[in-house]
Amino acid sequence: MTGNFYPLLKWIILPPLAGFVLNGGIGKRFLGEKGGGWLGAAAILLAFIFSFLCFSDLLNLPAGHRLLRDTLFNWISAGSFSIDFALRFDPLSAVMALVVTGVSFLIHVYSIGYMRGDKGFNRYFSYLNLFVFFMLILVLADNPILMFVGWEGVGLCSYLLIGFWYEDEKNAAAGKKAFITNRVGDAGFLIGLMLLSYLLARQGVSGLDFETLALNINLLDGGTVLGFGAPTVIGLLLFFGATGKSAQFPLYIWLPDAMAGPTPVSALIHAATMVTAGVYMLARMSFLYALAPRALEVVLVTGVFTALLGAVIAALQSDIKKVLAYSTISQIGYMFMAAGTGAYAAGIFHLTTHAFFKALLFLAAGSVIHGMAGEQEMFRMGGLSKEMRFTFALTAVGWLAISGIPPLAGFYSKDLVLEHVYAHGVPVLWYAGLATAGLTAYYVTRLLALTFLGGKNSETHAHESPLLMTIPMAALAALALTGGWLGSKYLLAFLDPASARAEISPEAFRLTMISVITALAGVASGFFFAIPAISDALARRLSIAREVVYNKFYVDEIYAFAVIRPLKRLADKVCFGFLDAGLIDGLLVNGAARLTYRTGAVLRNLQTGNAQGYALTFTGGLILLLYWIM
Amino acid sequence: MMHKIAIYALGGLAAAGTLAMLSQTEPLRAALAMLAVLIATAGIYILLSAQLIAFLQVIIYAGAIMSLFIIAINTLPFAAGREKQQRPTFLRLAGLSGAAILLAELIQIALTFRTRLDIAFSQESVQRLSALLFGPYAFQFELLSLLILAGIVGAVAAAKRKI
Amino acid sequence: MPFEHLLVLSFILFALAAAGFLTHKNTIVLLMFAELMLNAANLALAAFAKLSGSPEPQIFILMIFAVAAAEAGVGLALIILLARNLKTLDIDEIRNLKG
Repeated sequence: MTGNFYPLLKWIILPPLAGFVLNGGIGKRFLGEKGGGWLGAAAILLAFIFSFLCFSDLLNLPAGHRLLRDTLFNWISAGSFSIDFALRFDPLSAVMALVVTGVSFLIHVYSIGYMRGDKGFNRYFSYLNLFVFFMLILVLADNPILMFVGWEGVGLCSYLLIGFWYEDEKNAAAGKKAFITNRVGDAGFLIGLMLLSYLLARQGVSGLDFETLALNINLLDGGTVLGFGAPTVIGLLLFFGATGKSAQFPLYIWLPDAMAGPTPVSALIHAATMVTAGVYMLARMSFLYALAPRALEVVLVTGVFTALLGAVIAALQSDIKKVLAYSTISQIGYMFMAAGTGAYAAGIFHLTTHAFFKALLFLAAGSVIHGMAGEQEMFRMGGLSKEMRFTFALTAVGWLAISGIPPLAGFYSKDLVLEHVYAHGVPVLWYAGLATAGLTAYYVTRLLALTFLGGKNSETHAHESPLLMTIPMAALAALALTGGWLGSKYLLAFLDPASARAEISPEAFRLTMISVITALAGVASGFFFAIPAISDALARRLSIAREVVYNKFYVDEIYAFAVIRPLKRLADKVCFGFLDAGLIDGLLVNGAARLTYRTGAVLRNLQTGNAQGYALTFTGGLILLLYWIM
Repeated sequence: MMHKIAIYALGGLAAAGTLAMLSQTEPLRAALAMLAVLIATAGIYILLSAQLIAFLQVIIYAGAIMSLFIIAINTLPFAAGREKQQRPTFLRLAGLSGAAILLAELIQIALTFRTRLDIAFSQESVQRLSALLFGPYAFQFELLSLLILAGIVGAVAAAKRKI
Repeated sequence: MPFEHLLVLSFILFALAAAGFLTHKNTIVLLMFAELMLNAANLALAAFAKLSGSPEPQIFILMIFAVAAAEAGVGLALIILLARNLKTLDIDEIRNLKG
């Protein structure tokens, strides 16, 4: 195998692990706030440096042969089935690793300022480091099983961090919801993995690393599972897991609730990294999806639907973090849209730019919340542009980026996605994507206007955030400014050498113009409808629609009724009542005891204490013995 | 010829004595029937050229052990009662049938030993026996006395009134 | 004479003694029947001694004598204790080991 013993790879994942252990074990007593925070940030910086070194080594290899591998140890070995703890560094992993470690580092520095004074300070940094460790395992894994380890690990850390302030039961409930929803998706993911390895093993393929999978995946073509094509079924099952992890329909319900965690957590996990794991997985398994065009169609439609749904709900939310949460759901829909048309590189490109501007927006929201002493309702903010100048400027950068205004990052990536959707050939999907873009511009403008512009709606005097928080935001803003242009030049070619774009055709230029105009229209209507008088009039007119949209289309309530209640009843009556208490407890455990007791009670009657009775029994036994001898 | 008749006669006497014991109600009469059985058995021993054993049988069994039994029957207050000696009918039937089946099986086993036995009197049997007793089996012989000592100590300790 | 007749004789004695053991109530009588069973075994042994011509079974008989004597002694001592404590020698009444 090419470069099978590249030892630098494991050094990418080791510093975050060390940070987790140190901060978790000795942090509170020996390191304190300053030490613990900087230790956590330094660990991620080390990981970033190592990733960068590996990246530069990767560049030295000729395009098309860019692959670095390292096998640490043999993890599972059962007969012919063998899974190694092996890491893989190719262009896709490189991009993901750099984005994860880079953005994580900035958010760690930000957190040192944001979480100051919190009594769980060291615990926070240890969880955050653990998260980065698992995320890196996810993106660097060389086989889907190890990837699943990272997949589960980030889910765990998400749970730990969402419910970080666990004393408030709402936070704990949000954490539980996130974990359980993820689990439902993971069930599908696991079944897909099992099917994959089983079907391949039946054909004689026993190794499961991505190289072997890509080479042998054609063996599955034509096989059927329950009447459907095997690659389609596996692809759909894996995608189901991705909807859970990446908060797409139908498993997106946990992400808005996850805003109960600290804002840097929302920025890192629920904007830039964990929720993008689903897109990464699709890109990784592209060889599988090449055989399953029906599955890709499902991915595409789901992406479009979720994007539109998220944007519509975001347009009416009043909590600043919830707007950004639904915005994330919507933007990830774009990434899945790209993947659904087969343009994985475009999806990863949007992932990267989204990481920059969404993390920036979340950190800015955190800055505002920090400055407003915990206030999160936008209708109680306003006029902060004067009191928090720096934050306002940086938020404006993020606003322009996400709206898709050239030449910022969002424009390049979103436009590319829409182009691919248009080229796919189903017009209604493109229209939906365009409408979503317009709505995106609208709600972000609304957020900006309500938060920073207009008159003050509260008495709190907001103070600007400290440098520890604003400098990372500035770094992200710089990336949001330049990332798009740089990315379209270099990133796409790096990821997928085959998809180099030579010229911009007039068709593409026309599409680009349409999307820019849509974005500007969205911005304008954002400002327009932010004027209270107009929005109130509109709200009165469309009050029923407004009610439905504001309540998130009642999806949570529908799930609670249709899924959760029957499941709870099933768990209670059948599993607990019948199986556990009745069968296992009553019949097997207690029943065994009762049986023993009753047998004893019966057998006790043999002990009559009568010597002659015993003698009679002796005689009987002797008779039988002699009979047997004879 | 006489030998054979004698063996059969003494055997019949022993069986009759046991039968008599079975049907007896009073323990004292049962003891006397047992005495008859023991002495008849001693007679059979002599006819089988086991002279030492025969004499020892009379001395130990018929002499010492029976005396013990008779003393016990006469001195224990509840032993000599005349009330019904035998148990409820069902249990008696069970016991008797058990013994009968046992007998049937044992006879079947005995029939596998079909050989002819020469019952000519042997004069040297005692010498040969004592040669063995004072020879290879001397140690076991001495152990017997230990055994009896243990029995004595146990019996005395068990039956003492005051420790 | 036919050898099996001697064996049959000893077995008859044994079976009769067993029948008596299973049917009587008085403990001392029970002990007597036990001694009779031992005696029947001795008889079988003596027959084998005659059959094989070797005196070793007779030594075995000697051992059984000693054991029977010791057993009778200790047994009777126990019976004395029983009579003293439970005031009865009826084996059906002595049921302290029940349960």
